[in-house]
Amino acid sequence: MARFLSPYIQNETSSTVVIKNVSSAGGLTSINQFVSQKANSLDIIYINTQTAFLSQIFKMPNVNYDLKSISFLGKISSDPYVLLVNPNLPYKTFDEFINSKSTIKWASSGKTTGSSTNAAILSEIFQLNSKIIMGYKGSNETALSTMRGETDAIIVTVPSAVKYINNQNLVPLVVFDENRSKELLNVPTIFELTNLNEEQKWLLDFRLNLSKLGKTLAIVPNAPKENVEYLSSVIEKIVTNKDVISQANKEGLEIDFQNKEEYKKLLDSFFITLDDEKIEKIKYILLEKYY
Amino acid sequence: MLESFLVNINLLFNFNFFLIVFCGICAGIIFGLVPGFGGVTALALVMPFIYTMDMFTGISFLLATHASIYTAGAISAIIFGIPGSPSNSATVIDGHAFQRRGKGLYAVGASLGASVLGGLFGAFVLLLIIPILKPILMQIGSVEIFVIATFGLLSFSLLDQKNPTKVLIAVLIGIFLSTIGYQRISGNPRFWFELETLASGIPLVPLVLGLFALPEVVKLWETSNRLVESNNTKQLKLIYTGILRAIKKPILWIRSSFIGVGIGMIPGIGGLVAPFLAHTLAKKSKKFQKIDGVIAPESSNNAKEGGALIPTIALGIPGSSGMVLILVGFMILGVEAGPNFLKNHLDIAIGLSFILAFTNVITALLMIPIAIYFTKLLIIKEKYIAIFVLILVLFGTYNYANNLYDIIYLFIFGILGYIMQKYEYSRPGLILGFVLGSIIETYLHISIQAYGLNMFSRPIFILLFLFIFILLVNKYYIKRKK
Repeated sequence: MARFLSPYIQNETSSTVVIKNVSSAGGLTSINQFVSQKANSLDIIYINTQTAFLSQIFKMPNVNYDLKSISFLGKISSDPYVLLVNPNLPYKTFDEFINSKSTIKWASSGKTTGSSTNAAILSEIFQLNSKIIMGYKGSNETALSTMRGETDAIIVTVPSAVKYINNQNLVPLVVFDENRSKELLNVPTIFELTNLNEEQKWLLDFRLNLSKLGKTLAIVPNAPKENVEYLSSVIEKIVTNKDVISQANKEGLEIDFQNKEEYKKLLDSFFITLDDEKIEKIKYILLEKYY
Repeated sequence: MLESFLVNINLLFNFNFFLIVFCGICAGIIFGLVPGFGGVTALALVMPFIYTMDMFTGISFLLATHASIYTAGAISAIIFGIPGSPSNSATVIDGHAFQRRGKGLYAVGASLGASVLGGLFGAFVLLLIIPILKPILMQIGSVEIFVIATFGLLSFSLLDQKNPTKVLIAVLIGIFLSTIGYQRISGNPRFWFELETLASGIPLVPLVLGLFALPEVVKLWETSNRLVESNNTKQLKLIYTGILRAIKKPILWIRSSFIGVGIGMIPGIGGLVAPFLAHTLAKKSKKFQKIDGVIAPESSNNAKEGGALIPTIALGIPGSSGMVLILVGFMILGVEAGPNFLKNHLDIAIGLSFILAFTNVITALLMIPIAIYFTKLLIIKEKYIAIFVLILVLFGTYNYANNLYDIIYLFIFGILGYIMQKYEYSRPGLILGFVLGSIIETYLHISIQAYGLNMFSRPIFILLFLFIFILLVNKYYIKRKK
């Protein structure tokens, strides 16, 4: 996405934009490096905020940032997730899947990624006999492991799922969202299929809201107000432009913009609603129980 | 299929199409000659040019850029002892020694010949197995990746060598370095001493350039002899003899290309392994000559690109990091790679194998005059060349991730490389241990988690295990005979 947006930012700001790839530890390294810069730095960062948020509240090693202090320019994308299973397994419906007696093997590339956290939450809600296997490199490799039957299921975002379904390799069972996805109209949502008690509902809502944190653009903490205002207006202008949105779709990218004020409210609400007890409980479910 | 064949042949004679592919090749050559610029950087930089192209032309342009990088990278490896890309590292081992003896262009010729042959082999295999790609790929899982990586490391450690203890020590250092930073199977950092830069792990490009390039810079600075003989009249003949030498070693380049395709088509192993493995197996031969140490890695290096295209096209799963950007190119141009792509666009899939073959031939032809001009640089005083090479290496290292820490890593590994070279410890062994160490650890973990004891009953596992066993027994008997 950053590579896609950079020429537009370059045009709008008449400045040279240089992309710097810092891909380590699900983006932790890049955020750490980013927040240590001076307030007048001109760097912009593209953050997977749901992963960054979980790493922060779980006090993972090497987290040296506080998301509350970062100057967000707006949310760029947030995709709902889909459960996909290997076509050779006997599960043709979500009901069959959650009533499975055998161990379900999930593929994962990181404990705080969307695929792992969704798998853990789903396993907890329906008391599945699950085992999440870590070590795969990115979503493509996790999908490949499920295609060849090494693992049974994965949970990926809708745009990725469409790719894997269209190639007739994987079968979608349920979408984790309140509404059906326009790309997967024949796949039911989890709310259509289940009656959950309060506890289960809370867990599911927690995971669905995490998805809404999505991926954002931000500048360094304590950046001058005029920098934040100028850049956020530039970003908003770009990502709400119909031509840009359609070009992004062409390249397999989905834009789902939320401005910086609304986004800040959403993020703050997460920090307020989660007390230490809840965090410890979620931490155990997401990082330990199914590994 | 025959119709697609004719259409693609016809297209290559279309001037505009040819020109665009040619531009891609030239871009690839430039990126290949400068150390540090890998296929990913090159593709990211040329990506904006494809927006206005049609689907086949755009993908062909990207593929031409990507495929030509490795042929060009071998020239820097031979002439200056600096691998143009990490996967040219194995070529430095024997290739640069020719330059020091004034026969660098002979090695260049052999490398160009091997690159073309390997590239054609890769393209041919791609063409041949396109219709049956999917079932083959589905047979290769984490267990197979684990066994292949173990085989690669064991064969390298055992099949050498004059001094197996020093090789083993180098491999172990490499394995240790691979454990620094985030572990893929737990998500936690190891041996990082709460230092941000160590948590990210040791970066590959500064490691390779430090180990191989900096000791060469020191050597150039210290040396009093010219790197190349002053008589330049025989240059073309040297290249020609080198090319012929490669052609006359069919078993060597076919075996090496086979290794390249096989490893290239497995997502997760990485392109660095194939050239090293091919080099190691070539060295095992009783008839091994120094030039084989150039032919083997370069043929496998170029063949692996055909291999890496296989999962990219057949499953939409990139076979290498460069192929990730080729997939992005597919998306930009409105198509999606995968089984449906093969069903609907078989002609394009076949066309891409032609482009791969075509690129390899044209790149090699272009590299002949470029290599000759490159050697002309060597008439300059060694100290100036050392400065020029050092600047090139610093530029390539910094460009890798725009990170100043990489320069620090470069010098640390430069010192280590110098010591290793001086006391004859295996630098390729360290690189291979570094690359394969984490692969072995990760995929062993996944295999145990996913298959349990059943991992030992998978056919490819049994086959490769037997192969390793025979290799060990064979090695033991040879040693006893001596």
